Amino acid sequence: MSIVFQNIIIAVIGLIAIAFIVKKYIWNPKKKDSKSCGNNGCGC
Amino acid sequence: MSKQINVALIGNPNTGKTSVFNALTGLSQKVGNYPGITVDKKEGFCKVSRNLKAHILDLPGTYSLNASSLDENVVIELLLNKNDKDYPDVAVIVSDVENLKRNLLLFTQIKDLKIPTILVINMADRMPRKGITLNIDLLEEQLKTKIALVSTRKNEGIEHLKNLIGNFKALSTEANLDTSTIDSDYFASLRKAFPNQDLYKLWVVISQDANFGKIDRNELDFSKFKTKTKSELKRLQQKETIKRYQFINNILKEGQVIDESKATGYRAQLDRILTHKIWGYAIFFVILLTIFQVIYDWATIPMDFIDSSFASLAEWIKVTFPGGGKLTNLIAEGVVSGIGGIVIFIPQIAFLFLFISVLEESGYMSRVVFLMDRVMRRFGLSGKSVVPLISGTACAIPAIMATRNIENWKERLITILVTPFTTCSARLPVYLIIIALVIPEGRFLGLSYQALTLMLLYLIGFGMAVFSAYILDKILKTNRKTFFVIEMPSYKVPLLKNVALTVLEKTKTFVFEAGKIILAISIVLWILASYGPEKSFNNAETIVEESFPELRGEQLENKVAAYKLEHSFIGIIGKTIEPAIRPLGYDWKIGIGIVASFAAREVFVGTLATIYSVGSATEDDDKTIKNRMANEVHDNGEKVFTLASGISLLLFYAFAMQCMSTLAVVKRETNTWKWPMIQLFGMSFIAYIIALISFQILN
Repeated sequence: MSIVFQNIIIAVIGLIAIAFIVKKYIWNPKKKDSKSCGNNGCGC
Repeated sequence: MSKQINVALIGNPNTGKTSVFNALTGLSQKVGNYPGITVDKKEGFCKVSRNLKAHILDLPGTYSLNASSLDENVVIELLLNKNDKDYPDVAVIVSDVENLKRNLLLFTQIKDLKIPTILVINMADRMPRKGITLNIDLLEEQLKTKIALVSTRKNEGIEHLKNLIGNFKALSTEANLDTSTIDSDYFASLRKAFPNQDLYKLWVVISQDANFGKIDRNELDFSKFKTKTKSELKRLQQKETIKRYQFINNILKEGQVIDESKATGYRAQLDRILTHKIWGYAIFFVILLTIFQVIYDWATIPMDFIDSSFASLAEWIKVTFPGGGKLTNLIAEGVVSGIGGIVIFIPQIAFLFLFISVLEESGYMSRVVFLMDRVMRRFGLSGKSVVPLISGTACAIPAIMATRNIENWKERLITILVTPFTTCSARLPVYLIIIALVIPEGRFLGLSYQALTLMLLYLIGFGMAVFSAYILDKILKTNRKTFFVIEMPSYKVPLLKNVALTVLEKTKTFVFEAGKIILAISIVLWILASYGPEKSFNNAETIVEESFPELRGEQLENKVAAYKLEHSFIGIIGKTIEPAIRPLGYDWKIGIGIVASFAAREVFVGTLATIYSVGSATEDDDKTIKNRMANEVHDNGEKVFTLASGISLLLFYAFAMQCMSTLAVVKRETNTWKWPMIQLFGMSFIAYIIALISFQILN
């Protein structure tokens, strides 16, 4: 696999990971509401 | 198409509403043998018959319709608002067979709101042991309701309850009490002023003077009606309660027989010992010691197995897919190492929750709450703060939500602010790995030093919460103290199913919630650790060979790997923050771990696992997280993880507010960013200062 192609895939994976972290903690910090059953709303 | 109805589960705290909810819906909401577990309404569905589906609402426990706290308001707001989409078609009042008299007070109040009502008498399996006999037909007739005798422990009576819900149209809506008998003159004038309103509902709305937001009072024009003063209304409420108890007493005189001679209780004797002012604390202390010791003794083997399995998996990926280049490294060093850093702690987390669950289920936790109340009052904390502080050992988020049953706002605020000091399960991985690295394995009186250290950290967290509350109490000047009334539940043999469900649910939440964020952070960290500025990073081999011409083979490879890591993007960030953390005894890699775990503490171990994984080219067989951390040295050859730096790190994590989710919940509960920010900066400052002092002393 070419190095350039590998770097592109890694960059895409990295961007997805950053987007996930931003969405989880910055863009929408609110926890799921009480309607979600089976989970205490604990984000730990 | 099947029809859907709303069914509300209502009852006094700790009558087993959530167990009935779980039995009806097949869900597994948290249950516990102490009051205050449910502070918000939960919902689920139950197929009652082919054509009828029930939307089941599990509401927080309330003793009566005279609400004083936020969680109780949830119940009353729903019952008084017919326009609410969840307004119940059927109210299922859950009572405990051993406390029927008290539980029926709420039942009669709800019945008088003319909502079709079913009475569930739960824990029926205890009747023979307690010498209780019930005349169900008579009770049904006198209370004008249908009764389901249920044992959620033995899964008995649930089908009957479903049938009763299915026939909800046949349920009586006749009131139990004639409301006007409370005060005939007052209620006559009330009826005259509001002829189209239901009298009891009107009375409940009027007597609930405080805390209501959602009840639509606009439809009531109070200008035509001279209402009573608050104290007069309170007196009428008391009169109502007396009348209701007279009604209940008369019914139970015939409908319930308690033969004390057949009762085989040992509760009183046990309570005398377990809540004793000396023995009570001693027993609690011994139980804690046993738990922490067992966590260490039982979890070591599975922990080592998981650690070495992940190390082997990473190695296998590298060997099997050598052509993958950087992608293979990303999976082996970033993903596998990061995930391994959290999966390794499953045994400890599972054991911790196993013990907590057994203590809760058995009823012992209520005795602990009672014991702690005695201590806490001396530090200005309300007794009602005990439940949040104790449940904070699992996670601060539900604990902060549990403060909703504290009526006084300042007391509630203090509890919210200090609860994150209690040791939550997210701190456990950090504690366990650091303790394993810096505390020797010896034993004292059969107890390992490591287990004792872990227990000490839990006590320090709890002590800090109490101490901070004391200081905050002086600053915020709370003048009114909430009284804490706790009902001691019966002792029960923990139900294996409930214990297993709690352990499974908690472990699953820990692994999956933490796992997702750790995976994402590990990927980002690996990328930052594997790429760097062109000049120094890409020419690492040449620079190292020129600087250290004497190095060969593995030594050279290790030096290159270390050099690359130091000159990668993460190395540059780490080196920038290093001066701030150096006085605490940490190197830049630990600094990265602290920064990365700002959002969630448990990320710390995964972060270090990823960084050390990238920064090492050693080909030895043992590449476990623990060994990598143990072998880490400073530039001068000294070990990074020494007793001084380890204790400093433990204390830092004991006091630092490294949890974004908690901050978000505090913001939601206080409705402002002010308090979470004070909490964040205050706790971080305390953590830094204490870690600094401890390192400087121990070093």
